[in-house]
Amino acid sequence: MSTYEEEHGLSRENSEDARSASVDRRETRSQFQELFQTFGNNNSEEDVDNSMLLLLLSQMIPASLQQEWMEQMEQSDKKGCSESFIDSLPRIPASKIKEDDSCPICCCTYKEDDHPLVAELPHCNHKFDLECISVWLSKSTSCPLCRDDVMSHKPGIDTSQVELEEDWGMFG
Amino acid sequence: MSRAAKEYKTITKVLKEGDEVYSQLIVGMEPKEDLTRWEALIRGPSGTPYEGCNFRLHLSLPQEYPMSPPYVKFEPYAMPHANVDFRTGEICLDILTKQHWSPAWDLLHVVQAIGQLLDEPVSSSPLNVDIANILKANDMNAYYGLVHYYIKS
Ligand SMILES: [Zn+2]
Ligand SMILES: [Zn+2]
Repeated sequence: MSTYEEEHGLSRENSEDARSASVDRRETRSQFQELFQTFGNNNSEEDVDNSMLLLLLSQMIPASLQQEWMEQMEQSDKKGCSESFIDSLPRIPASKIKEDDSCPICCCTYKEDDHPLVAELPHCNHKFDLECISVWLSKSTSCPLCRDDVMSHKPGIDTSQVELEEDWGMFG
Repeated sequence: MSRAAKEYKTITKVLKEGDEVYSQLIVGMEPKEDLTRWEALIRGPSGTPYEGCNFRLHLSLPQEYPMSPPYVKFEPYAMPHANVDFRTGEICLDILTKQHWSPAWDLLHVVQAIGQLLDEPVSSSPLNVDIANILKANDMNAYYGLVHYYIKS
C-alpha cells in the first residue's frame, strides 16, 4: 500500500515543508485574532463593530494574504521611504569627500573608513553615511538636517496608478 | 566609537572650556552608571520665575538612539511649568516626540531646547493646567507667585 505522499508524487521533505507552512499559517492567524481582540478591548464602543468585522474576516481570508497585510501595516506604521528609493540615492565618490567631513547622524568622520559609502539626498543635497541615512529613511521621509520631505519631489507620473484606472474603466 | 561616547567627549569639552551658549544654562551634565543614562543640572534662565534656581534633568537613551529621541524628564515634584507634569517631571516638547525628532540632534541640543521652554512656556499644550491658565490670563504677578510657591514648597 502506498502512502499519501507517494501517490501524490510528494517527497517526505515536501510534506514536512507543507506541515511547517501550515503551522506558520496557524500562528499568523491566531496572531491576527489576538490583534483584533486587543483592538476590540482597547477601543471605544463605536469601534467594536469594526473589530468584530475584522475578526470575522480574519477567520475567512487566506492566511497568506493576512501575512501580506500584516507586513504592509508594519510598513505604513513606519511611514518611511521605500527600499528602492533608499537604494537609488546618489553616492558621493571618495574623491569628493573632504578629510574632516563627518556624518551628522553618527558624527563619525567619513575618511575614518577606507571605503566610505556616503549618500546624498535629492534637492537639499545633505550628505550622510549610506548606512545611517538608510536606517533613518526606513521610518521617516525627512532630511535630518533641514527637514525637507524627500518624498515630496516625486518625478513624473506613477504609471502603476494609470494602469489600475484603465482596468477599472473596463468594468465602468 | 558610539554616538553616545562621542557626545560624552563633546559635552565634557564644551563644559570644561566654558562654551558661551551652554555654560550659561548648564551647571553640570554627566552620565550615570553607563552612557545610556544621564543627569543634567540646569540654571533657571534670567528674566523668568526660575531665575536663581537650579533644576535637575534625567535623560535616558533608547537602544535606537539617535534614530529615536532620548527620554527626558525633570526631577519629579520639582518643576512647576506649563509644559511639565509636576508629579512625574514629564516634559511636553515637540522635538522629543518620534514625529519631530531628528537624529542629527544631540543631548546638548535637547537640554538647550528645554532651557528655551523655561523661557517660553507654551500654554496651548499644558501638562500643568494651573500654570497654563494663569499664563493665558497674562497675569505675570500670579505666574511668578505660583511658580515660586511651588518651588519653595
Ligand atoms: Zn553616520
Ligand atoms: Zn537636507
